[in-house]
Amino acid sequence: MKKISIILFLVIILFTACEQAEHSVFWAVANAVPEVDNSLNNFLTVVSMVDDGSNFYLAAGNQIYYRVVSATGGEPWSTVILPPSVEVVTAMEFFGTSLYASFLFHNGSHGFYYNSTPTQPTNTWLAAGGGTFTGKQIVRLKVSGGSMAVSFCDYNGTNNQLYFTNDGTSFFDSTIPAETHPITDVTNAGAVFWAITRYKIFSGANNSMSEYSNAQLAGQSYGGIFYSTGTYYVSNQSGVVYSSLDTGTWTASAQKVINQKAVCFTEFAEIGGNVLVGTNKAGYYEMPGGAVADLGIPPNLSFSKLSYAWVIRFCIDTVANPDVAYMLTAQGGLYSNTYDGSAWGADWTHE
Amino acid sequence: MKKNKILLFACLVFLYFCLISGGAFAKDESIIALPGHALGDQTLALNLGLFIPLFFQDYSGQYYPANMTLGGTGSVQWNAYLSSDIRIGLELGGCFAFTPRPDTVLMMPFVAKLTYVFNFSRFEMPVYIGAGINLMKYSENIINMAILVKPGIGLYWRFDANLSVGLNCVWWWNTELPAVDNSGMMGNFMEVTPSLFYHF
Repeated sequence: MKKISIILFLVIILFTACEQAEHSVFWAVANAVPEVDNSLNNFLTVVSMVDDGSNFYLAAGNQIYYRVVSATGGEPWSTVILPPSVEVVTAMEFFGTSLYASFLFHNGSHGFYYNSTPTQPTNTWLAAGGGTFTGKQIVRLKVSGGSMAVSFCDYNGTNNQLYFTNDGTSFFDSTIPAETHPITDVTNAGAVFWAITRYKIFSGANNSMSEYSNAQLAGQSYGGIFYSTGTYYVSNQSGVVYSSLDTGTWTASAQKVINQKAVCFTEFAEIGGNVLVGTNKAGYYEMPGGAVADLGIPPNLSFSKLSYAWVIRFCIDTVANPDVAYMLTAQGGLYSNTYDGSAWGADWTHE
Repeated sequence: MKKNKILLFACLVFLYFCLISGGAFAKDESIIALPGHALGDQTLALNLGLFIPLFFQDYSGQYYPANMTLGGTGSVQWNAYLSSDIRIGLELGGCFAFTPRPDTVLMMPFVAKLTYVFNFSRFEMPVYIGAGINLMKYSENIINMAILVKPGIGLYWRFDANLSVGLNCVWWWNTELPAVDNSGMMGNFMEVTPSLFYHF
C-alpha cells in the first residue's frame, strides 16, 4: 500500500510539474513532411551571408561560398578563392562594389581584405584598413546607413572598438570608449547610429557615439538592436524584446520561456512588414506588423530542425527576392523560407 | 481456403497442447498440471516487439495518417494476483518510430493495469486494460504528455511453474494534453510484443 501511495504521489508531482507544451507532438508528427535538403553542409556555422545583386556570398568555417541569386534557390554553391592559410573567416560584408572579409590565418595573425571580383579564379584580395594585425580580431562587419561598421574584439578583453568607413578605404573611430565586450550589432535611424555590446547601448553619429542609458533597459544582457520604419527594437538574452518609437519609452514583450528556460534572443530582420528575431537554440520568433505584443513562433516552425537551431542572424535579399528569408545558424547550416505577405511556406528548406 | 487450413492447423495445435498437458480445461486432475495462482502471487514480465502506428484524430473528429514508420517497443511490468484469475500491475515502457523528415518520435508510457486471466490448462489468455500517462518527445524540442488507455489481449504458454512465454496485442489510445497552440490530437497505435513472464 505504501508503494502504491508513493507511485501515485510521483504521478501527481509529474502532472503538476509539467508546464503546458508549446506544440502538440501528434500534430507535428501528423504534418511532418520530408525536409528539402540542398547541397550545403548542414553542420556549418554561417557567420555571414550577403549578396551583390547577382551572387550570394556565405562565410562559414574557412570558406566563402557563392551562388547565383535566383527566385527558385537550390543552385549549387561554389567556393571563392581565398588568400593562403586561412583558418577561419571571422566576418564578411559586401560594401560598395567589393566583398570585405576578415580572416584568421594558420599562424594566428588576422587580416582584413576586400575583393572586387571574388568569383573569378584569379581574384585579388587587397588589404583593407591596416591589412594584417595580431592580438585582436574583427568579429563583425555590417553595412548600415551607407557606412560599414567594423567591430574589433581585443584578445585582452579591454580594448574592443568600433570603426566605420564611408568609402571602404578610410576608417574612422566611432569614439565609443574601449569596451570590455565587443560591439555585436549596429543599426541606424537616418544619421543616428546605434550599437550594442553585451551590456551597453551606444548611439550618435557614426563618428561621435556615446553610451545611451534608459532605466527600462538598464541591467540587460543584449542580443540585438534594430530600426525599421520608425520603430526601434532591442532584444535581450532573458526572453524579452523591447520596442520604442522615440527611444524614450520602451514597450516590453511578454517573457518567452521554453522548457523553463528564458529564450536567448539574437539579431533582427524585417520581411513583409514583420520583424524577425533569432534565438540561441530556439529557432526564431516573429512579430507580425512589428508589434512586440505579438511576439511568437511562426506556425509550423516546430516541424523543422530550425526550431531548435541557434539563429545567429538573417539575410534577406531586399532587391531581387524580398520575400525570401535566410536564417544563418551556428552548426546547423543555412535555412530559407518564403514569406508571401501573410504566411511562411509550409516548410523551411535546409540549404 | 488456405486461411481455413491455417486456422484448423492452429486449433489442432492448441488442442494438442491442451491434451498433453492434462486435458482441456483440466487443472488439478492432471499429473503435469501446473499450480494455479492465488492472492499474493506476483509476476515480472518483459515485452519486446513491434510498435505499429495506426492513425491520429483531432478533436473535431478528422482523421490523419499516422505518418510514422513501423517502430519498436518494450516494457517491463509487475503484477500481483488478487485471485486466481485477476491481477493488477504496473507497466513502464518505451517505444520509438520515425517520421518522414526523418525525425524520431519517442514515447514512455507508465500505466496501471487490471487483468483478467482465462486459464486453459497450460495456456493463459490475459485480457487487460491499462491506464496511465505517456510522456512523448518528437524531434528535439517538442515534448508533451498524453493520457493513455491500453486495452489488450495475450496468449501465453506456461513453460513451467515459474515461466510463461506468449504474445501480446495491445491498442494504444492516447489523448494528448492540449498544447499552447491548441493543436492536441488523439493517437492510435498498436503494440505486438512477444513476452516472457516470470511467476513468483
